[in-house]
Amino acid sequence: MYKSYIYSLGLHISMFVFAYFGLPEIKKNKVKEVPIDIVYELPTKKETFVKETSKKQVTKSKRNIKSKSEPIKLAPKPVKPITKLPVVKNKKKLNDLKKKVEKIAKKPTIRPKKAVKQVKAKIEKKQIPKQLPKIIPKRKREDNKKNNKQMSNAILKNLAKAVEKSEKAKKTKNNQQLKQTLMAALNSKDKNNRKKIELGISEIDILRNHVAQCWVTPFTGKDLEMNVDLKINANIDGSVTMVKIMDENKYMKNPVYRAVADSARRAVKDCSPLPLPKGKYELWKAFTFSFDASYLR
Amino acid sequence: MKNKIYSILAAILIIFSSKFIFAQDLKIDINKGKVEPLPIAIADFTDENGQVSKTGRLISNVITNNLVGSGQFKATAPAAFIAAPSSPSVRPKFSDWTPFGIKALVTGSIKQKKNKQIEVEFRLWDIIAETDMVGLRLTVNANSWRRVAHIISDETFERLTGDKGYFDTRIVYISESGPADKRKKRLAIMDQDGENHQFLTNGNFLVLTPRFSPSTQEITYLAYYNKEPRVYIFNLQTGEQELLGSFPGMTFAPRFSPDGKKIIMSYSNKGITDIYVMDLKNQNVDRLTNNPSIDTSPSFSPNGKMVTFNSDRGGTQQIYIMDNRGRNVKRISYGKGRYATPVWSPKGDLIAFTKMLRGTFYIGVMNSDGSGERLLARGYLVEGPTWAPNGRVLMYFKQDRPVKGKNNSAVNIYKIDVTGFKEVKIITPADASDPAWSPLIP
Repeated sequence: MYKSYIYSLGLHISMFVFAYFGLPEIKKNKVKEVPIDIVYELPTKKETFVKETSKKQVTKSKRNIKSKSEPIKLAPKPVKPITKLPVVKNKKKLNDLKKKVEKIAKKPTIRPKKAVKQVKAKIEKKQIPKQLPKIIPKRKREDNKKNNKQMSNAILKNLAKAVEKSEKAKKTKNNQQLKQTLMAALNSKDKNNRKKIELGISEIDILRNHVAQCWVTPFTGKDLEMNVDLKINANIDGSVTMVKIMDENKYMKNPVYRAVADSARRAVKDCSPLPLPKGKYELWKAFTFSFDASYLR
Repeated sequence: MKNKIYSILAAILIIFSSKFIFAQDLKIDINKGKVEPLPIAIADFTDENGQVSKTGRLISNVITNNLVGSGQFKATAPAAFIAAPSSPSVRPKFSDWTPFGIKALVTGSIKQKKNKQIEVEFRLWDIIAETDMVGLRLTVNANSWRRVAHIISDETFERLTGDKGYFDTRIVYISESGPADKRKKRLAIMDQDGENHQFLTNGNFLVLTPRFSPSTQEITYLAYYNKEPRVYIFNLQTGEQELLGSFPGMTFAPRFSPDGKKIIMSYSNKGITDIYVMDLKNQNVDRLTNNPSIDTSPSFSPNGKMVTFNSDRGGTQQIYIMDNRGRNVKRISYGKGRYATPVWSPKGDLIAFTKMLRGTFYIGVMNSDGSGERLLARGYLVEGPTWAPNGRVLMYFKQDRPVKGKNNSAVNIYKIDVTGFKEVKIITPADASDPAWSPLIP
């Protein structure tokens, strides 16, 4: 008895979870209606404009991409030759290089031979030492070896410590970075959400004003103590494809409701295409206009 | 274990309820619009061959005048039509009408029938929604084409505004002629647009304040017959006049109750004027007010439960309301000046009145509780407001300021919508005053 109860509960939960994550309609982030009266001269903030905000977002994202790509492209190239330079120890190679340098130098610059010779001499003086390295005796060498071993051990220990420290530092850095990125992500989400709401309000105001200019309200509308809801279907370009008066029962029975509904339908069709924000087609694909004639009172 | 299950279930429920709330469709309130005349086109009515007929043109002219005169519509001249419709049963090409901003179109046809009968068909089209809204077919005597035009106007008006029309109605009024010292006042009747004019009395005796009964078949008025002011009832079908009671004093300002079974009026005797109501069936009289002041111009509310009247019991002439038994008297006008002739709107929402302030007369409306006073018309003398049956239009008479050296000045009837937007003068054969609007003709 108890098991079956748990099974059924589990099944129900799984169904709910499936519905929650599976059904696209539920997951849709639809903008809720914000009850705001139309004010024609309301100054709309720049932040709330669709185009301007979208531009801002684009520029921000571009900047981010640049900052990420900079160390990848530019940093490795200058580093490599520096690390290679000390490896060149052979005199022959050095000489070859010098010759190459001389050849390259000779071609573009037509300089007098004396000058070239002087340069050669300078290079020879600097890079080919006259004195040979001193020969160190064997004992000294052994001592040196011992010292070297001790030194190397110490260095290794230090290195190990340094590695540990660096790892710790890296970990802390990573943690900090993670925290920062998470915070940034959270903040960015909040900002995005806020912006969406603000965008919605300004866009809705634009749409409201647009339709209000087309709505010739019958004077009897002041006696209508209810709103007239119209279901609207629109194309991506804002052209209205379908206007449906939702309460057909009232439309058939109440002459005032019918007159106001007809006037509202005319307004929507007359105002087509509607100024619907681009890039939010899913939001505007099907929506409801609620016409309220109580302003006549 | 149980607690855990409950908590999980509660969490799931909370998540789902919140999600479903957010999953509502996007809904946008449109709470502002334009209040202006609706652009409409009224095509000339055609005959059987699809050609414009003489009667068809007359009918479309009457419809145009009616709708434009209401202040709610703006008509486009037929000369601007790209392609005039040939028949109301043929769907018009809507794209031909949209360039002019036309929102609605009236088309119609007339067919000749036997015995001088005509069959008039009309259809109202919504140009923007590209659909027909209403259609009618009427068979009448050819002479009644004007009434057909009024009925079509009413149908169009009702379909587009949601309010009942008022075009198929009549006006009874006082026709005035002659010099000031020998003024001849006759009872006359006409259509609401001034057509089909007819005199009901010959002018041998003075008549005043005519009022229609709800059945539109009877008129009550005050007549100075044999130099005695009395209230009479005139039957429009039979032409008979009936004296309404015989009292020692003077009876005046009569008006029917909404059910037509009673008449409310003022009765003055020995310097005291009060309001009385008479049952027409048994002629029983009930006194509603009992005050030493002058109480007059009574008018029932549309449901018959309340009465508005004017009285100077407070020192100046003001508007009061009371119940139909004369109790709960309450003053409702508190503005500057004097108020008179209150008339309750057929819709019950407004009371029309005459106002006198600093030598100027006004016609205005206020809510039935006295609030929201609005003045619609003004003049040297404007008086006697009467409501259209839909409670949207008022009619009244206006007298111009007399020119120096002349005693008389023109008196005319005007109508105005309650917004005060459109004032239209009614053309009458002579001077006209004291209009009374009939209910819709059945």
